[in-house]
Amino acid sequence: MPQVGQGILKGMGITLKHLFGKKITRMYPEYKRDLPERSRGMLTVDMDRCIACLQCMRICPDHCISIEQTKRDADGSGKPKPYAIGFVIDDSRCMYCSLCVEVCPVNCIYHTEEFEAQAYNRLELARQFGERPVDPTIDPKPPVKKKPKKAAASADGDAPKRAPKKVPPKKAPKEGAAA
Amino acid sequence: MQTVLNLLEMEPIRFFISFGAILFLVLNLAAILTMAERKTAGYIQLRYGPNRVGPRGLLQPAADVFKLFTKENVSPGRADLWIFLGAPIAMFIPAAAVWMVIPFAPNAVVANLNIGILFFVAVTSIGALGVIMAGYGSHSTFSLLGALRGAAQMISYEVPLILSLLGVIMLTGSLSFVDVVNSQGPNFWGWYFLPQLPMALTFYIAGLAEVKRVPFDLPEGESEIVGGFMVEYSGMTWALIQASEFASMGLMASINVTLFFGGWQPPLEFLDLGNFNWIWFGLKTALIMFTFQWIRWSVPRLRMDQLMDLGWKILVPITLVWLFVTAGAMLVF
Repeated sequence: MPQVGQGILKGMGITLKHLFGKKITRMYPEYKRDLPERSRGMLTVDMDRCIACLQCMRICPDHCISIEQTKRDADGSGKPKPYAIGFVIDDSRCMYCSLCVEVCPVNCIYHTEEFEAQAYNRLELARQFGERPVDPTIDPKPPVKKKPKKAAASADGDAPKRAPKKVPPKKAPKEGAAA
Repeated sequence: MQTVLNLLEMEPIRFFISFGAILFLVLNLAAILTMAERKTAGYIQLRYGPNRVGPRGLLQPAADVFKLFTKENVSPGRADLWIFLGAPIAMFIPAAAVWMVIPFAPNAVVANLNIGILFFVAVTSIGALGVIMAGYGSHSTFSLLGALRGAAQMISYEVPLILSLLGVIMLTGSLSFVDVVNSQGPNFWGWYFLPQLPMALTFYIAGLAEVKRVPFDLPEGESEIVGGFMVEYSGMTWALIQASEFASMGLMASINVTLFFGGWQPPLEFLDLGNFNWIWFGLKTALIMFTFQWIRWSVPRLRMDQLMDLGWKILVPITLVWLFVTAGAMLVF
């Protein structure tokens, strides 16, 4: 009989102690703790270093990067090189997998420590970096490798196989812009 | 000035004013108690609780009410709409109406009924009807389960609740709350919680079960039957159920204070504040309400059989024994 209610009293003592105890809450918008090393925030691009190789666009699993490419003689060497005139990263699709960062040959795309990606409209999350804005709603179709051609031909039938054969001479000059 | 006061004393005007005052008190009490509940929960769990809206989060209830008013009131397709929508009203009216008979200060009581305690017992038990209506009208499994538990719990805890009032009634010789408070005297050793300690404890525990607070919140049972009888409610109907829960919690605390802790009587005679004695009433009620919240965030929920054991095998015998002790003492002295 004497131990009836002792557990309850003990527990209520603990809660009473906590009631006046020091709070451990970190109030987030006012207090921001340091992010861990190698944390993946929102992506950013250093456009001066970008060589418009389109590797990030190809490897992106979510198709969140689209690049509009032209040839331009940017460094005055007299020889036009690929130049990214439009560059958009759509944060509403990005899943922070960091594949583009790994694949970039000149380390011009990298994570920042920004992580508060919020907007009233999904299109506001698409951040433009180039001189000319790129429409982020159009799915950037990275050039498909043509290795599985035979397998695809047997599966799809003859019709899709023949169509590209006729078209290429007409469309070939326009395919400089990959967006 | 005197004529204006006399005008206020006239019957229809007095009725409407006290009606408005009681409604104002109850609704604001519900809003403040939700805030206090969340703050207490936060502080006990080493958090701060809501602190974004207004200074130190004090405008949170206003934001909550605004949100709930703008929400859609969804009702299940197969619900019985009359019962479904009538249930929050059937819960709120008893919780608000009993405030009429509580004396807040020496002359501040809306209706000095000579059967005040009987009125309290009769009207609060209507609250169980609201719970049953909510569960039955929703046409939902969890709701019905919660309502059945609620009915079983509230009806079986009425018994120790009423039995624990009998000692006070015997000592006072009256069923009026005003007489009970007056007979307790302005010193804390004259209050009834000392001679009636087992009764006061029983009333406290049974009251806790009667207002469905946490160790006895089986009708709600958040972790097992989601929200119990109020699972299907949303928007303002849900808010009304919450308001009636908090109003009945405040009511139970104030009845506790009135019957066992001296009502508006000051703890020591020289602290008498005259007409401002409602401050003592408010302080004591707030303390009791705080203990309700403190228990809520410290104690786990009882099982159904433990609940019934506590009610029928412990509380009822204690009250019966102490009833005879009180009667014997009154016969001897």
